Formats: sequence, structure tokens, C-alpha cells
Amino acid sequence: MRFVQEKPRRGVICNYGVTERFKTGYVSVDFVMPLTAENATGLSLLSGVLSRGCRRYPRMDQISRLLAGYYGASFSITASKAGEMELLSFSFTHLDNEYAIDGEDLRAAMMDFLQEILFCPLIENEGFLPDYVEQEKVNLADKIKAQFNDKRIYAAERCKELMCAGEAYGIHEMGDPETLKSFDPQSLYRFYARMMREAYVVISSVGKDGGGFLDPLAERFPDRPGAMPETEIKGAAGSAKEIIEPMELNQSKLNLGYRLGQTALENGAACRLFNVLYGGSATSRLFMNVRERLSLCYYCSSNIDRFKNVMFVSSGVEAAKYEEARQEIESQLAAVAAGDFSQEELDHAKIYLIDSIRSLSDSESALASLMLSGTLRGVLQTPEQEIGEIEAVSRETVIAIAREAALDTVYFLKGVQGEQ
Amino acid sequence: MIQSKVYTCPAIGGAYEKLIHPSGLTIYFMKMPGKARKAAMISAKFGSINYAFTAPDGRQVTVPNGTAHFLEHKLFEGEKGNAFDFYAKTGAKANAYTSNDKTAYYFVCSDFFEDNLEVLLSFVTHPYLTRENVEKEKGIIAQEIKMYEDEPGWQGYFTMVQGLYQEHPIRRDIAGTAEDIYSLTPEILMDCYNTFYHPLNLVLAVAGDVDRGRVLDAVDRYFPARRELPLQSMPIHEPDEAGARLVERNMLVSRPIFHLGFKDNDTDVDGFALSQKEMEVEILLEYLFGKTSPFYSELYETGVINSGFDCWYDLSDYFSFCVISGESDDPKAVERCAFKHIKALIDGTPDEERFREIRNGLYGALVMETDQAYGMVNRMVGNHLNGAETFDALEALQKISAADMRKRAMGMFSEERSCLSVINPLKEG
Repeated sequence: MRFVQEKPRRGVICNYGVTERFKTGYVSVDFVMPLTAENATGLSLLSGVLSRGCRRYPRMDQISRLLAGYYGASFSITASKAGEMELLSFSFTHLDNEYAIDGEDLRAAMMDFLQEILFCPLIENEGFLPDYVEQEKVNLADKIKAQFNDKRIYAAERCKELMCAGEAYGIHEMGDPETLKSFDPQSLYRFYARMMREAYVVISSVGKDGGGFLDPLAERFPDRPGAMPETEIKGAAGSAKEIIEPMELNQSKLNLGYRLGQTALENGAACRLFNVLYGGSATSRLFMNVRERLSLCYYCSSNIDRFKNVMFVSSGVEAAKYEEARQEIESQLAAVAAGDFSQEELDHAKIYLIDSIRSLSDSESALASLMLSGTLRGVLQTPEQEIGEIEAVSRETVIAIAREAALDTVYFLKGVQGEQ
Repeated sequence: MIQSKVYTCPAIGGAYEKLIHPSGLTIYFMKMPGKARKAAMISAKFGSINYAFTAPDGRQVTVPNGTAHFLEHKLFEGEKGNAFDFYAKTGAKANAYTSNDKTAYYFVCSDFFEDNLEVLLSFVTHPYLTRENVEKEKGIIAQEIKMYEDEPGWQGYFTMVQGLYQEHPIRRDIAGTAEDIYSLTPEILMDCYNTFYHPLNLVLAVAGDVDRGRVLDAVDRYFPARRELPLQSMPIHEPDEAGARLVERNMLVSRPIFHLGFKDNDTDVDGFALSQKEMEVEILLEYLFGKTSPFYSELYETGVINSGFDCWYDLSDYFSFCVISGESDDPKAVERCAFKHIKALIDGTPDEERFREIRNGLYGALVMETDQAYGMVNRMVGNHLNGAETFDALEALQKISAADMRKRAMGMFSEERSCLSVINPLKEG
């Protein structure tokens, strides 16, 4: 496994993950823009509209049939956020040519198809097709609303939004209904043209090929005018804010948002290790205590965002057990901060994380996203290099990360019985 | 003596081996040279539908809903600690699940495979149930039950299943209610364990770059001798037609969520015929309702459904039904449109070209899955418990014609055997 990075244009980066492991090939193109309401909404809407068709394949069923005919090649366009960046990602997976029954060149066909989608959209009157834009606006509005259906995700997003109100990070990756209303076929087309001109471009391939084959694609993008978008990192405000919202639910959702400190920011490997030890695995402090020892919940876990340098803890609990669960979550963090964990626990966390990283090399999309996040962070590391860093993490660094973690926001979605 | 048979798929250069261990345990072994990820799964043919049975000592036992699932949680407990304490030393990602018809325990790892296999086999073969640890689990599972009570997707699906079936034990809730699980005792759980966690009722699957001899050595140690198993046949009676054509509930959702189910009571199919049936239904669903279908275009372009739409086939030894599901303000229009396209296929001639594209697509997806250790152990275990062989599907795909697909549509879909469930918004989201 090796990673090769080329920069054929300013702001256009090509990554190659070279490996013989797969029966398939994978390519993705990511456009990176700063996270603003306009960009999040616009890129999310574009993911829908561009999926509908292009000049050569104007209907969705034509695209689906094309992909099915290429032995079930998959293709998707998705918008997502990474720290305070919004990404629009075009990716495909295809069967290697050697497995094609009639000897087709599947990779060439898919590269060709990708470029049709990217560069030759369906246009009329200097805008996208009004029908497609209208329908996809309705779909996106639906999707934004449908988040409410999964209360676990809803509560986690609400906590993020409350903690980072006024920061770009508080903007949802799908954008918001108000900004969505402002897009019409022409303004969305102008937005698309701006993305094609200005957004940072990261092209990644995973497969047997070591380099060069992405060049014809990369060269179609002119030099980018600006720098890679940055994420602003803030410290916690003096005391934590607590927000309790009632809803007619059987189970309450408890979410805690933390700001991490300088040590976490400078030691990515240690930060991930801290998360595994504290709440990121089925052998973590949170799982073993909040669930196994106290039987307070079915799930209780932590996750970190290394771009924004924040951590979130989430759990589903009985409304009456709010105080007890919150206290245990906080006291487990205090225990890690006090160094109250064994060398064995730390070693286990290392083994757990190393095992996960090793497994990445079996998944093309996981390798591609590792290259992408490395590129966005400015440090491209292979799984082997990441493992080396994790092995070297010291106990003191983990303690320092826990000690610097500051509780910012507690969000409790409180289950109450209905009136009917 | 170990009986062994190798199944190969020349088209992909892949093979796996099926062994019958002297204890009666069935083992699937698939070598994946050069892959980092390794996986093992052991599964008992014991799920929520097995609520009444004869214990090995001849007693007739009836257990509350949620018992199989509760036992799954408890088999992670051992005299010397929790299974997770052991997996912690190796870094494996371990988990388990219980469905209507099976309980499966598995891990995925890249290192220490043999240690992990020891943990898996030792915990599944050594139940450790005490009053205290059974009590402790009740709080955890009560929260799991409450979580599902608030999940509209699951509630909509299960409401549909209960409408579709009239008498079938699939109507029983997998996790049970809080009341069900609070009535459980170590004795009830051990009755289930002694009846269903017998080598003849278990299947183990291993995939990855793993040493075959060491896997068999470990099995020898944990499954020393053959025991006889009083055969548990479970007669299921289910009337042909659905119990209800429409079932509705209200929950906190942004837009109505629908599940439209079609049951087929022809569950006496095994072996190659079953794989062929499964592939016919998979192609059929994609042909009728997939993204390349006129049905999908028609409803998507008019905004009746959105990209959250999905369709799938639920197949087991005990049941067989198709589901189409999504969000819609007009679920009845979705139902009408579905039957319109089913009728058009049955009354007309299938589009051969689209049929072939779908068949190719399905073939490619199955080939890609043969690279995935977890995907393969899960598939080998599931197929075995249903009475099928995994590679048969690849062979069947090459035989199926558009006419077979059309014929399958006639058997699979009828209005009398369908049920529409709708979760309506309780109030403005």
C-alpha cells in the first residue's frame, strides 16, 4: 500500500492509493468550499439536481441503467461537511476490467461518464432544468425535515447547533430551508459555475494504478484562486450551558458537547486514542460504566471531530435518570484526566485503534476518505504511518487531552408522556 | 470423521468449504489470501419465533417475547468477566444480533484472529447466568426497547409485519416489552440455551486470511462430542391472505412513512431452487421498483416519493415477503402505482434489455461482496440456515430468464396477500 500525491494545478490535488487488493476500482472527485449557509444548501441541492441527468443522459433511469449494465457499477453524488468545510463528492466503484464478461474497458467508460456529469449538465436559459430544480428543492426540504424522525440524530445535531450557534460549525451539512427558497434554476447554475471555477478540488483513486491516469481529468480544472478553507477553533465559554427541551418520547436523549484543547489539536493520534479509551468503543469507560455497571442506557458513546477539535457524548436514558447519567459521564472524564486508568487500558485502546486502521486497507472508499481527510488536514498518512504514531502515544498526552476537555453544552431532549 | 465439500465459483476464482464436524456443528471456511480483515460468526437457529418448544428433558416450555434476544445479551457474560474484556485485549470489533429466526455472534478483526475465535467459541459454549447478572441486564434492554419504540422506521416495518401475518410467530416482537423481559429468570434462559445452542442447531462461518487447521483445532476443543438432539420441528400455520390490508399509527414524524408488504406462503423451497427463487425475486424487485423502473421515475418525478425510497426481500426458512418503503404524503397512490406496474408485467412481455442490465448489476454486486469477510460470513450463515448455498446464487443468476422473472411476479404479488402500513405525523414536525 502506498499513497502518491500530485498537484497538477494550484488547488487541484490528485491522490492515488496504490494496492492490488481489490476486484474493483474507485475514483472520487471532491469540491471543497467554506461552510456557509449558501454553500451547504447550494452543494446539497446540486447533489440532487446533478444526479438527475446530464446532456448525454438526461434522465435518472438512463444513468441507473448505464451503471447496471456496467456490472452494477455504483455512482453517487453527496454533500457533507468536514469541520467548517462543505464538500460535494462525486464517486464511483467499478468492477476491474479482467472480470468483465465481454472484455469492456469499464474504467475508461466510468471516467468518461464522470466527466459528462461534471462538465456537461443539462442547461436551458442559462439555468438548470426548472422541473429538476423544483423537485430537488422539495426533496431537500423533506430530507432536512426528516432528520426529526431519528431522535438520536436529531438530538446530536441539536446539541451541535446550540453549542456552535454563531459559528460556521453550527450550520447543518444539508443547509437550511430559508436559504433553499432563495435558489432558482439560474442562481443554482451560477453557483455551480462558481464551484467549478473556485472550489478546491481533491481527486482520489484507489486501485492498481499508480499515477497519471487522473491527469486528463485534473487538467480540465483551471488554477484555483483561493486557499483551502480553514476551520476556526474556539475555547469553551466560562461555564457550561444546559438546555432541556421536552418532547413526547419514550426515551430521553442526553448529549454533551466538549471543546478540546491545544494538546488534542497538536496530537491527532493521541486524541483518537483518548476517544477510544473514554467512549469510542465497546470496551470504553462510558460503555463499561454507564451501560454495563449502572445499567442506565443501551448506548453511551463519544465521538470527536478533529477539524473542529470538539467531542460529543450521546446516550439514550430514562428521563428520571438524567442527573445520574450526566454525573457518571462527567466523572469518567475526570477519572481519565486524573490519570486513573491502567497501562493495560491504554494498551488495549491502542490495539483497538490499530486493528481498525489495519482493516481500512480492505475498503477502497475508506482508503479514499483517509486520503481526502489527510489532504484537507495537510498531512497525508498511510495506514502504516498512522499506526506508527498511535504506538508512540504516551500516557501523559492522553491525560493532558482529558484535562483540557472543557464541557461547553449539555442538551437534554426530555421524553414526556403525551396528553392523549 | 469430518465431512467436507468445496464450493467453487470459477468466474471469480473463489471457493469456500463446508464441513460437518463430528459434534454436528456445520462450519463454513473461506480463505481470502492477502486480505487484512478477518471475520467469524456463529449462529443458532433460534429467534423470536421459537417461543414454544420441548426442552431436552421433555417438558413443554413457553417463553415470553424477547427471550432469544435477552439470551444473546447474556452470552457475553462469563465467569471470568465480560466477553468485551477479552476482546479488549485483541482490538476486535465484536457484536451480536437477534432476528425472527436466528441469533448470531460475530467479530471482525485484522490481528489476533485465533485469540478472538477462542473468545467467541468459549462464550457461546459456556453460558454464565446468575440472578444478579440477569437482573442487571434488564435495565439495559429496557432502554433498548424504548429506543426502538421511538423509531418510526422500525415501528412502521413491524406494524406492517403484524398486519401481513395472521397467526405466524413472526408477529411476536423480537425484543419484547419491558414487562416481558422483567419476567425472565436464569432458568427460562437456560431452557432455551439447552434446547437451541446445540451443535446440530449451530453454524460457524470463518472468512479471511486464516489458518484452516487452527480453526478446526479450536472447534475440536469447544465442541468435544456428539450429543443427540430431539428434533424441534415447529409447525407454522398461516392463512394465505393478509390479516389486514391497511394498518395505521401516529408518531412524531415529519412526513408519513409507508411500508407495503407482499407475503408469499411458499416456504417449502430448499437448495438450488431457493437460491434461484431468491435471485428471481431480487431481480423482480429491481425491475418493478428499482431506480431504473418506470414506477420509480413516475413517482419520483411527481414528488410522491423521494430518494428515501427502498425495496427489499425478507427471506427465511419460515417466511418470505417483499417490502417497499419510503416517505410519501400519499401512500395509497404508491400502492396503486405498484399494483399497476405489477399487472403490466404479468399481462405484458418483459423488457429483455432492462432485465439483462439488472441481472448484470446484481451479479457484479455479489462478486464485489466475495471480497468482504464480514459480508461473506453473514451470507454463508444466513443461507445455510435457510437451506441454501451461497455460490448457488451466482450460478442461478446465469440461468434465470426474463420469463422466469415474470412467472415469479405471478406467485409473489397479489392484493389479498399484501398489507400497507402508514405512520402518520402526530403533529406538525
